[in-house]
Amino acid sequence: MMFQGFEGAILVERVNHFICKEYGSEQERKKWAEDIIKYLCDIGCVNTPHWNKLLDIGDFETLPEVSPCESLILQKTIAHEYAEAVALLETNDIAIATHCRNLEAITEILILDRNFRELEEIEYQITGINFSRQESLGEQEANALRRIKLLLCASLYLRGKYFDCSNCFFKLLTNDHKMMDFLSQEAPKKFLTNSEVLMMVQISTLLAIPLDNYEDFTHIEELVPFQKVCPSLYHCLRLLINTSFGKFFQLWHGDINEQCDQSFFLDQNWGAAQCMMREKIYFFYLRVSNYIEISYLSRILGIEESLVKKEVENLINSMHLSFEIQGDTVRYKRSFFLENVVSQLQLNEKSILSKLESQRLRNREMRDLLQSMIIGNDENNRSIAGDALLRSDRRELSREDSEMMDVDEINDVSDMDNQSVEIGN
Amino acid sequence: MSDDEENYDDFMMSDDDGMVEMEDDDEDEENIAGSGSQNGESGNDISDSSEINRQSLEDLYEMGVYYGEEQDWIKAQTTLRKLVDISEGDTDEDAVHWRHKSLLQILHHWALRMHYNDLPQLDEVIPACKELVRQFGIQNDDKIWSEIYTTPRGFLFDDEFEPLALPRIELQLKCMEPLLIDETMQLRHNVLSIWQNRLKSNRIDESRINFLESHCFNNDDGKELDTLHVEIVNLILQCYIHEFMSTGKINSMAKFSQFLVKVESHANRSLAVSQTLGIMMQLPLAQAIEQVLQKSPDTKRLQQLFWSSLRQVEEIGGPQKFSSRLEEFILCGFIFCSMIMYRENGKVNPFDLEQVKVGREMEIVQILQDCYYNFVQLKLSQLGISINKLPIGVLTLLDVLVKEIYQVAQITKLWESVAPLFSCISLRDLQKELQVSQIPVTRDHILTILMTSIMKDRAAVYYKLDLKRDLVYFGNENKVPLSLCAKQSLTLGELERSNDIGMWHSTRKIKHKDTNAFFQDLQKQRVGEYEGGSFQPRSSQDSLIHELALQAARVWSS
Repeated sequence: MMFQGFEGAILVERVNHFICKEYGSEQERKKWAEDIIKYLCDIGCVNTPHWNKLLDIGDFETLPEVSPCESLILQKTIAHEYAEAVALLETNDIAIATHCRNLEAITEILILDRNFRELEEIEYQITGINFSRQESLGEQEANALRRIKLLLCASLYLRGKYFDCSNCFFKLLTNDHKMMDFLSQEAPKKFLTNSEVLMMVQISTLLAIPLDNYEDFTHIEELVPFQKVCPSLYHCLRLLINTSFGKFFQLWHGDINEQCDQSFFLDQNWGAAQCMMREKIYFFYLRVSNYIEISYLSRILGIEESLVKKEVENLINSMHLSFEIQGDTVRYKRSFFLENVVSQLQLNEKSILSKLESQRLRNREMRDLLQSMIIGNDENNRSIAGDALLRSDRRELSREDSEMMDVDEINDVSDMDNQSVEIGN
Repeated sequence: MSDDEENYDDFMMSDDDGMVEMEDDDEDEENIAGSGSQNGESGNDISDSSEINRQSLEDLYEMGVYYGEEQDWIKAQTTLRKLVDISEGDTDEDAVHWRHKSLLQILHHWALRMHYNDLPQLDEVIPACKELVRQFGIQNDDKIWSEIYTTPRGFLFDDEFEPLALPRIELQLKCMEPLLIDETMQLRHNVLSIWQNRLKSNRIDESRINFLESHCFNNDDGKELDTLHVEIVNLILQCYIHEFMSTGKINSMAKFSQFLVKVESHANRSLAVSQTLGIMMQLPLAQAIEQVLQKSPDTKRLQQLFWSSLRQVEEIGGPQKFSSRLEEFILCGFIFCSMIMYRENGKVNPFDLEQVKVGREMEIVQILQDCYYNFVQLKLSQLGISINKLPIGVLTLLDVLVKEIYQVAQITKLWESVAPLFSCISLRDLQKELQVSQIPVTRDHILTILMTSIMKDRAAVYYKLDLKRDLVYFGNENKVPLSLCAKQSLTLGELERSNDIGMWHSTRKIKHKDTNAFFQDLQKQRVGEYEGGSFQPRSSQDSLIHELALQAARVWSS
């Protein structure tokens, strides 16, 4: 059974996910909806945002009787009132002996809530439990702590921080020698399954490590035992190292896609991750080519042509790549970084020149005026005129300053662009 | 009489050793032979039946031994038999002692006769076996059992066997029938049955292997394995090697790998295991096979494994002919690895090594020498021709290595002799340049070589592809900026994405053995300044600004 081992809020969310994704036959979906409604009535938590949808699909003449609810926390969680659920958990009197398990419950709710700020808080608390103390924890507490760490790691995937997710996971793996065994068996009561964690790690690792360093990664001796735990990652890496991109995408869009689609958690960030991997390979091709055809990319990678075109176009634009698309061809287009600012520079030049010109005129006028005044030798007049002159001069000067600044700013921009530049192969 | 007594004492003294080690060591033999001939002189009247009862059991025993020495098996048999018959039921210490010794001696003679390919009748030996077991039980460390249930000379994976190997095994198996109640006898029975199957139908009974394997290691408490167990380990290794040599694959790969791990750990702490000649050769050989099957990229280790088995083969087999399939396999494996490793570690020419040199007259060594030199000189089409002259069987087994050789040769030729010479070459011409065997190199294969060179850090010259006109440009002048934006100017989100996509990748390899250091290095790269090809150090920035200003001026005036 697909939902074996799940209960409470996560069960509701997973069932809802399946129904939203329209998995299974209509019959099956109806059955799932009915079962979950019965379950919700049974535990007295009918206040879920999915309720109406579930009722629509399920077929009830009369609803089952709603039992009284035994756990307010559970009720709040199922109702998506996560903050209140967490607050309840936090105010509970917690024995030190079950501290980690309580923290695990909070972490789970925060993950459902995608409340990453609070999750960072949890991470902070966890780092307080240092290694020696972790050793002295009982089996159950130690495992709860492991699950929290894995959940935090998963939260990084959910946020699209693939590098951090991969990095964090391998730290856990190498710092805790029991982690490998822990990962190879699923707990009876599941929230996030181990295979989901491993899939997150697999996706994150493929995305986070540069293509040029895949091979280095496979040579890390420390991780040899991990190859057995997660063979699919290494299979993908081998395909990519041998540039069998087509075969890799078959997997990526096939088995891996299916697993991610089905998983309530993986699916949350799968679309973005999936696309980014394609972009990574497009970029590799752009990096080694001056000319390349969309149709060729599409054929060799096994990705639909219109999608390739759309994504390559988006990649070029969003990353300001020096390429342009002409029909089917993607072409390297050498462009000067100043090109975009030239028109603005020209405008600036014009306005500077005209300002200078008018200034010159004013100066001449002033000089003429002064001369005539000196000639007139009228002291009173002269002091008034002098004040006026000073005032206007200062104003003009400060205006000129600001014009000069513009030119400086442009220089600053060029400074930075110097470093953008090339990428080797 | 006093003479006899002295003799007797002599014997009792050396007997203590004799009981433990039934195999006659030289000293013992001389003793027996010496006294045997003495007895021969004084024992003219053995045939005289009235004298027999007075004849000491000891004299009879020595006589039997003597006839054995003379290979007069029938007399030896009757004499020793007589001793057993006379002393039957006698519980006297001496009688028991001599009875035991002569039963062992009967079996020993039987074993010797088999050894000399003179297959004896069973009816002589079965009663002796039964009696020995009935009266004295089966002692596992009794060398006699190893002696009479010895396995054929050579290895299970050899191409040819002594003609009488099979009949002898069948005889041995029959002789074993009455003893099968014993656990170690069952082990021996499985060993011989495996041999029997192999010789009869060239099949290997996997269930028997499983039985032996589980017995061998089920009490894996790190204690020294006894001779029988070493023999079994040896046989299982041979079975795996045989399976590979005859089918090119191993069915239960996982079990094979586990087994190798166990054997290796035993070999590391047990002299009995590590010093057994067969195992010394087979363990590295089996590990080499494992690696070939797993297509592991660690050629250096593979080369070492082939090298140790090659050395051991020489120790076992004396002067090299490289005529058996196994020897061909090991030799080719070693040379192939040396070729693949040539550019990393080519200082030693494998044909200068004593172990290979001895066979330099052999055709296979000469062909390999051609392969090697064509590879070194990057003559690709000749390389293909010479490799295809090698026996097809070996080529099939080492298919992975052959492919690797071709690929390494192509990559090396591309980067050492094509890329530095051409600034631009069409893919079509490149296909011709890199052709090795008759099979044409495809355009996709060329592209794969070009691209994997980047992945494997072998691209020595910067290149760009024009996939519209199918051209490759070589040279640093093709290095161009790919993007207009500066890494420092990106928002955090953009930076994350551009890092993942690989916009700021460095071509630097990260050779770390430990995970943390690897990720730290990557992390530094991600947040650090871009260190790609055109990164300019501060000092030269002024001149760069100047240059850019000039460029800008040019754009301006246009």
